[in-house]
Amino acid sequence: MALAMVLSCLAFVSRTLPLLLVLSAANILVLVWLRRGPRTLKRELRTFCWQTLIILSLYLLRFRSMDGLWAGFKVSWQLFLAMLPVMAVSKTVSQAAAVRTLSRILPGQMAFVLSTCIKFVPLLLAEIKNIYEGQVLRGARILPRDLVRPWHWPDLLHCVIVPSIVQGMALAGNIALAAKARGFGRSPRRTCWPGM
Amino acid sequence: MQRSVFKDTAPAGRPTLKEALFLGFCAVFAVLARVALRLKLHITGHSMLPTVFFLMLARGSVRYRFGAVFTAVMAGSAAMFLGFAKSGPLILIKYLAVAIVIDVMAMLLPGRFHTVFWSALTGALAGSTKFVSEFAIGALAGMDQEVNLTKSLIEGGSAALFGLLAGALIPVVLRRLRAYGVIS
Amino acid sequence: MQCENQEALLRCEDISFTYPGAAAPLLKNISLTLRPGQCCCLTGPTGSGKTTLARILGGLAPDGACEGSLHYAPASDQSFPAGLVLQDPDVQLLASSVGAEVAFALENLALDPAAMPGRVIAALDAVGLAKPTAFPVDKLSMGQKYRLLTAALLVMESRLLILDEPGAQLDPDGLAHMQDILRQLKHAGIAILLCEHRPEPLLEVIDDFWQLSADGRLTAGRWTGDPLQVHTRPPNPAQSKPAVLRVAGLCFQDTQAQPVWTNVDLTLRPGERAAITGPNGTGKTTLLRCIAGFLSPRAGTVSIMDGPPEPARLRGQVGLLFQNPEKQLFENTVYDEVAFPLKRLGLPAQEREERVNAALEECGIVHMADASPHLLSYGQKHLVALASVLAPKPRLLLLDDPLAGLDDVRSRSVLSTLSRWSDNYDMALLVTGHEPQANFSWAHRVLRLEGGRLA
Repeated sequence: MALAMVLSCLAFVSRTLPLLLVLSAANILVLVWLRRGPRTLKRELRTFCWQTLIILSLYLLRFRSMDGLWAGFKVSWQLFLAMLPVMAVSKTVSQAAAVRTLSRILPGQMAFVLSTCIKFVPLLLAEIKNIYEGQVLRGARILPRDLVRPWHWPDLLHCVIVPSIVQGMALAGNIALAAKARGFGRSPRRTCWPGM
Repeated sequence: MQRSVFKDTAPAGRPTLKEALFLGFCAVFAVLARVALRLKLHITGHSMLPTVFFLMLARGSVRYRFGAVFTAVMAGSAAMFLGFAKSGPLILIKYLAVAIVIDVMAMLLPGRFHTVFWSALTGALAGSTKFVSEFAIGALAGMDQEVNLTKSLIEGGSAALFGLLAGALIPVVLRRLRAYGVIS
Repeated sequence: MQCENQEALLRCEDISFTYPGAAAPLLKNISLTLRPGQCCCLTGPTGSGKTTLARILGGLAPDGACEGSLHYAPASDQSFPAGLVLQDPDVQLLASSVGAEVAFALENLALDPAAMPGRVIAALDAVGLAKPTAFPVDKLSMGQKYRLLTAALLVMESRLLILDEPGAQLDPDGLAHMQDILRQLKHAGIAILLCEHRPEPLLEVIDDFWQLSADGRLTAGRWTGDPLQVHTRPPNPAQSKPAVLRVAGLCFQDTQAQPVWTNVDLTLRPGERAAITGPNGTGKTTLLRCIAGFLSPRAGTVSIMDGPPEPARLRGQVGLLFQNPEKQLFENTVYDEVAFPLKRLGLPAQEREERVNAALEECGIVHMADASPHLLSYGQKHLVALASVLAPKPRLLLLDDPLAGLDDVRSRSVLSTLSRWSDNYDMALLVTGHEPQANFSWAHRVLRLEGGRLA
């Protein structure tokens, strides 16, 4: 991740063609090392194309000639090289490893809170799905075809979103209680299970 | 030996564990909703809708005065490390910018999240911070100033619009949560 | 082994508790003592305050006004005097591996990491959970999760264990294991307090019963509610009527392409009532979701009222309630909540009012029509949710463990309501549950989902 961030920062200072080519080569090497090919980067490449189109259009409008296109393309290339390393590396890191890294970086309670919330999100999503499915059969206009009409959006808000938020609060309360029952917060310092 | 019953209280100026966990859920959902919408809608600035919504919900639902910033730090960290951050570490700054506006507005206008006008205004201001972050990134990349300004204005304006929409939803949601008895 | 001469592990005197905004105290002048090796069972109707009292005795009182005194026997700084296992194990498992879960309390006590493995393994041995410390928690059965939570408290060297409704989550095998563990813990001098609606599976280890009455007082003895009414099995509905539900050869796989169940066949006619039982994790909820059209099976067919199971088509015709149905309540009054599906079906106001009143009356909650559903008790919310799915007079009602968390009196009330509605309006009923010893006299058929088959 540190390497990704360095590559990402270097993208902002690479404004000439040779530097961009060198940085691109470095990124390709990293991708090969991580065993990630063009197929797995479909989404990033699609973003790059979309972003390039917008920037080129603005440059064309600004300079009203083809000269501006090269400058615009270089800027888009830089921005792509700024985002690519972090996205590529993040996707190869397992969730458990990511959470461990977060625990080292974030302050005490925040690390526990975030890692616990990430762990419990699937449970909360399952509860939300139950709420959604129950409400559909009660007649709430919240199927995808219903939500194309904006006057059906209040049903989504009242029947699903608000009850889901309440479930989130209830779950937060239950988790807090379970943690307190096992002494969380009793000592200002926490040690760590050695993982054996 | 008598033992006092143990309540979920927090030192002054910090959220209780229950509040912190709820803020954590808001953070994770802010990230997941942002990713889900990005995959489906492809409209510039629309990711500000879930961002502003969840950060304002976080601030409006708990008594902790830095609820939005607390949530933003977690959301930015989660987005970065779980691979959902298009702009890498800058995502943290983007979330923080939105959150600081929300917390400052909540401090300057206490209780105003319950009125649509002030809540929508807060959402729009929070959303408009995208102009600053996009302009800064463009400037760092050496983009032509006029192009950078135009691009940032379009993205910032669109984000402010979505932020306004998100802010307008908050009073309705908070009113419902009070009816449920889960917030005071 | 219980010893009357030993110092009490817990003594509470004149505990009273009032929730914020409540008109009267929930608990009044509760006094009790627990000694080493003693196992007591706290009984009482739903909403009487068993969980609240359990939390107070565990040192985790909810927000509210609490009076009285609580005394624990002296304990070291590296231990907690009381351990509390709440109702739902899944929201109490905070780590991803067995070892980390048990060690969570030791982390909070800032114990030296080098000292943790020994205590963790000793706690796992005490509950008979023979799994490696790196074993993923989400691969454990419900019974094993419950034992893991017990170990996670024993590692804190708690000498008092409070278990809130262990029977609600455990199947017969799990309960048998739990009984063995409780027997061993009693022998080791640990006091146990159980909060239970249905303590029958654990009778052998229970020494004393207490009961919480509706007015908040604690007395000796076991609460059993009204005398058990035996229903005669209802006559089978006419087989000449076309089936409401036809399931043929249904197979379902999970996300890892592992079969959950195969070749499930089921037919339900109007007015027919069927119960599906089975251990936790066998796919009962998944089956209901497949029938309602929210999940796609790998193979087989589902036909509801001679058509495919499309949620849009089934609105108003099929009702679905998951466990803890009060989650879906969102309106400001009980009346509005019950009227909501009727509004969405486009019924005229007059007919809506008649149907709402009929549903409220059937569920015995007419007097709550103007009340906020969010401020009702757990059992009352259950009834509101039930009334709201009955009001549209669905032809098929799917209920996922609707009796979870309800005492016997409330459970019988719910089943009577459902049986009457089914008889009066020819509604087919499919109910799932995990208690094989439950009374199914209201059902025409009882099926068991186990080992991937429905029989």
